[in-house]
Amino acid sequence: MARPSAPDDDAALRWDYLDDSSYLDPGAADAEPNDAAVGDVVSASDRGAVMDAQDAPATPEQPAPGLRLLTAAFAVVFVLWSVGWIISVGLVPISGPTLLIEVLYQFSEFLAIVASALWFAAVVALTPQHRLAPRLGWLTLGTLVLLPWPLVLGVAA
Amino acid sequence: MTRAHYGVAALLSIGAGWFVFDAVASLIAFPAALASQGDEPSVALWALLWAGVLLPVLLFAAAIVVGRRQALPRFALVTIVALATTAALRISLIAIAAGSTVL
Repeated sequence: MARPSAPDDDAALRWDYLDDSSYLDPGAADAEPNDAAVGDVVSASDRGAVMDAQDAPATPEQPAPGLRLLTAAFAVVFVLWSVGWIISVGLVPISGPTLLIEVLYQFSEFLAIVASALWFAAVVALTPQHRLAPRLGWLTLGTLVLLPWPLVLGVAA
Repeated sequence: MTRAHYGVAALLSIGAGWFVFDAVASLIAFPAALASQGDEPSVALWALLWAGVLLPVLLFAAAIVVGRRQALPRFALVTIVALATTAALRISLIAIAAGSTVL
């Protein structure tokens, strides 16, 4: 809306005082052709200030360098560990004296198989993306703790 | 920690309790079985049997410490990971113990 050249007594009652640098055009982000008229009035520095004010709060934290590669490498290790545990459960036949204990043993074997995947999911969910050390530490700890010993001992024997 | 956190911890502690119960049963029965054959458990075997008793408690307590400031779904995930890790370590301990008795 063009500003009238003559003094306007009603200017204080409107929100279209375009020379005011604090004025934020709600349609400026759309960058439509209709904004050309506004661009004629607002100076380039004012427009830059308006764009900065709109863009500044939406800056996400960048992931640490190498984090995705590291996570992908550990994902491969944890998949291998899961396969190792599927084999390991077969190598250590455990049977309970009663049906209830047998069911509980079977469930614990299932938990052992999914432990690697659960550990990996928990570490990815809980560690921040912008810090490499916590994720590296927890994934390394999981790799050591969840080593499928029955398979390792079976291969070693 | 909220009431829901305590509820999830109490529910999942049943699983940890079962692992402790099973390990205590092994701690009593395994040396008795060896003794009936005129043999005694080695120090390494005693260490493995006691590790089976202590690990579920330590892992579950560590999970509560790690997850206590997290939202409920993440807290539940951490405690379930502790139970799953306990299950995996229990099978590892059985495999190592069986190997040590064979050796």
